[in-house]
Amino acid sequence: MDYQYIGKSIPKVDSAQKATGTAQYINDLSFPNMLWGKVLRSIYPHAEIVHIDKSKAERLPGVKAIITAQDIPDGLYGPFIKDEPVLARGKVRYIGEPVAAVAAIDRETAEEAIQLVEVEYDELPSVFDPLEAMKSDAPLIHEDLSSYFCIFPAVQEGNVCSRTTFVEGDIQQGFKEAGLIVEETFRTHMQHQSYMEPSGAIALIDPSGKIIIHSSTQGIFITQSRVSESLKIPMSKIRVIAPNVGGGFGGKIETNVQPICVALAQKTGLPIKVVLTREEEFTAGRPRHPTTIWGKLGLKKDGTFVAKEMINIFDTGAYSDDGPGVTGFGSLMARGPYRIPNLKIVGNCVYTNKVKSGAFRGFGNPQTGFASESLIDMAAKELNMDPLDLRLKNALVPGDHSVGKQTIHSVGIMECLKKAAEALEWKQKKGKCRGRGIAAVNHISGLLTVSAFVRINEDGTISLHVGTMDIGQGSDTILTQIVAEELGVPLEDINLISRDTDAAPYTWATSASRLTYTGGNAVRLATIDAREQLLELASKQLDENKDDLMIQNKKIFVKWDPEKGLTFHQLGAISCWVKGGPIVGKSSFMVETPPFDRSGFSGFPFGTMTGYIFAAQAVEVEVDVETGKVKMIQCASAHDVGHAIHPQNVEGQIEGGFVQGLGYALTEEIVFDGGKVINPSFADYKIPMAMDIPPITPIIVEAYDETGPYGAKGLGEPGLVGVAPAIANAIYDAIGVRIKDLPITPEKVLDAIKGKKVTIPWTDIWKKNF
Amino acid sequence: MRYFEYFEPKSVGEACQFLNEHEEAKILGGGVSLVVLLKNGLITPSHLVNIKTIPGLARIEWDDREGLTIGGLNHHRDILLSPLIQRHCPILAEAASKIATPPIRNLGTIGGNVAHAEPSADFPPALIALNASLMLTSPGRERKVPIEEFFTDYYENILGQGEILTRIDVPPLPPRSAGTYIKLDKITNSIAIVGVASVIGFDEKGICIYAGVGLGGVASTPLNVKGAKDILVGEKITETHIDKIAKEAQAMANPITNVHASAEYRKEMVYVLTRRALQGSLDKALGR
Repeated sequence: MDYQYIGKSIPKVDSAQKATGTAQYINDLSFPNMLWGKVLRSIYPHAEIVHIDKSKAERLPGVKAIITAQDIPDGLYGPFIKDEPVLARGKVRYIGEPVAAVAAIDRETAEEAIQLVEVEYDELPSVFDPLEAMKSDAPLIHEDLSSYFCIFPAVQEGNVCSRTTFVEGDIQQGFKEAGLIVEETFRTHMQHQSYMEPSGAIALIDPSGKIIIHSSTQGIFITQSRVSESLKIPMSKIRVIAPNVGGGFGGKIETNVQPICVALAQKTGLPIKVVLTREEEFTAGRPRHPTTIWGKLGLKKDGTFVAKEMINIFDTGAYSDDGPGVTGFGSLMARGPYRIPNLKIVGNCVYTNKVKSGAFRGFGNPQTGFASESLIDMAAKELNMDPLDLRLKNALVPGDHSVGKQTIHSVGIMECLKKAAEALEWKQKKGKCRGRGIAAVNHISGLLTVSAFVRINEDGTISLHVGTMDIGQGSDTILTQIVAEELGVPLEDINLISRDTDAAPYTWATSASRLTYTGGNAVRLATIDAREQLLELASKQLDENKDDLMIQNKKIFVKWDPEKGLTFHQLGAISCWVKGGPIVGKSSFMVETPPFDRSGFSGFPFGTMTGYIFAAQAVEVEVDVETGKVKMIQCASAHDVGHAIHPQNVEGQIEGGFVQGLGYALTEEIVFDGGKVINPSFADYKIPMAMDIPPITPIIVEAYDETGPYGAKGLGEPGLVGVAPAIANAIYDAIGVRIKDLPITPEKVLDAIKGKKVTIPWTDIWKKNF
Repeated sequence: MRYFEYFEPKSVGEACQFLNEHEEAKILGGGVSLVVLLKNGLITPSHLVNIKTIPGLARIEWDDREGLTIGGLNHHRDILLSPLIQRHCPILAEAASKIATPPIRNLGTIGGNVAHAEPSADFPPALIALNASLMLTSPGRERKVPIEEFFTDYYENILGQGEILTRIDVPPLPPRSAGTYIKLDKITNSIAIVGVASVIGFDEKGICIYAGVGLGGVASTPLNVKGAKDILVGEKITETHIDKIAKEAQAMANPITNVHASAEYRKEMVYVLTRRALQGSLDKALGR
């Protein structure tokens, strides 16, 4: 099909602003009489708060307010389990937890003031390792867990705040049929999103008493609802506006400083700005869950997968946040894009006395994917099969099923695997100490809701109202392209109105790789609705049959008589002033079909998901066997996106995802001493820079999805997911050692070369019958 | 709160005088180390003395007998691009190229890099291998010290009250010589886990007449592997010599464990990198 705007790499709608530096971010905004807020944070991982003395801080000139839990409503909030207070109430559960907050005339005064707040603590026993936290005698981090409100029927036990289980087929029988069983324990680490712009917000109260929050967020409606539930303010009294957002990668879906900001604004009546420092981002942000994963894969001698069992332990830190979702989704994806008839996957989301982990590009999939894709290469080695061939043998084909028995029609995994391998000349001879590795990825892009209005203005231009957040990924451009396509209008005629809860209809967040698929569907349907209304009006005005009309160049006219027609301008004016009423196309899109067969599910915190996307990452590495350093030689990343609405943007996402995966695999790690982060800065936390980025070949695979807009599916997350296992597999291919815990540091590689055993503690947990 | 007074001296003498009178004053050169310390509250100086406006502190000159003179205020980028340095001791340009990123190389100065006494800094090992000396200027006095005597501990040096590192002198190398600086870093150009510099010079017969090896990142100060000279000078260099020096370097190393690497790993890498650095210089000098 020929499209005018779809499939074209047009300039992004925000690129001029971004390139010229005129785009405004939270830190660029300020308001008259605005105060700076600063958060006092816990210095203990687990302690009772005995007493807080604010008096010294209150006497500091320039200090306008100091609040503690006593000064605010006792609401608890969180996306899945309502377990988190705005300010610590009674006890603290991690180093970095907000205990009090100060508003002062400037940042320096606020910083000085929090140092004058005296908090008396009574330290409690703490636990940092989730495996220890699962022991029956471990200190309980949330005594009231069973009383918390959960949005799903959570399975809970001790410090396990959520346990999700997926069972299909007969796991025991499956392993009996296996001619080969590989089994291993893996460990992954904590990674920070490292978005360029730290989290921040400004809260003010307008004369009517309405609270206005300028929020650096991935979801304006999520900010609205978290502030509402935590501070017990009706949503009708909260307006959330987002400026440009300097990256999120999942870390800005949920709120961070927003409720604190609002509480300070309420207390002082003045605008309050709170922006985190980079150190606060590392110690009190929302990084990727560390995990310990035990996996077991059973295969027939010919390589056919017959059974898989996995126990995933996700360390969610002091509060559940997105942990139940990450654990559940990571476990759902743990089968991989393969046919495996007999399956048992158990995910445990476990509290520890560390910073809470949350959503981060991949949402649990990078962790389980690392284990799963490493296991496949271990099996390939035992069977003396090419790891690519083993994957192709078991890969899903159209018509196969998801976990939960949905039929998936759009499946491009085979093509992704083949093309990624081809790009590296997979079968060609390799140099010394060089190896190639590949990993396959499955993910989703259809989840929850987006609603949209498309209005035809008096002058025939278009207003698109949609609550989606473009945080750099390009959704504003994609959604504008869709409106342009359906109405045949130029992009500059479209006014995209988002980022304001008072102006845009409800949308769930920028997350789950969903805005092209889920958002694209909503916007397309709303635009079609508006178009039909336009045609209807034109048909009445022209006294012609609707089917005989066509749209071109902002004009509706009779197909065989182009002279007989009305312009969009005329129709807009007629609708607003004369007849029919203003045209508003609308769509409320919810991902409801196909439903999961949930008979083998327990404790899964989501409804249905769809828009399955596939990817394969392939890498060639060279290992320096004297230093253990891994050098990336070349890389390819192939993605089944259904249909690339903006190919250049797709390639950018593929490359960006790959680089973030490279950091995850090799250099990035939040390191703890007990409960304390010891590298909370970019001096000690290392993300790859331009010089570290190898040649990456982005490959677009298009397995048309009939349920997506123009056949399109999502892309955002999978680009990262397969990078770490592909590298681990390539290292094995190069020098015959397997790295089982991330990140793959030179030291670990060297230890492995020397044959040092990596032991994962307390393996008894794997024998437990969940 | 972090208030400080700001002072712009017109001459080195004035700067030294001011520093002498204000014990809590700090020198602002490029600021790449100072501003980080300041922002993190690790230092709270009473005054900042901006020496950037003093003329004559950013020169690079060559004299056939004296060698290179490098002003303390030269930016890393100046070192990287200087034709004189490229011609007479390219190892300094190599070290400069391995410091951080272009924006930082445009700001940071060689004097600051040395005076900060960060044991992992990139210039000191190269300067040690080059047998460089530092000119320390104080009111009414100048003293010239060999670089390895400058460092005393982590972030500590011998600079006295009112004293400024104004100049670095590098004596001429034999005509047939070459140097190599290599470092192990987590990402490209991040802080050296281990940094090793070697410089070797030969006579026409291929006999070693100059040798210097400097280490970074493996002790509380940069280290001079003094044995390199004894082992190599007067010899035709073989694998055995290289191995012997690498072992000596390893024996000297007394590293710490931190988030970037363990002490054991660093110690092991001193051996590997010293061998590579020496082999690199040898290959370059002999045109291999």
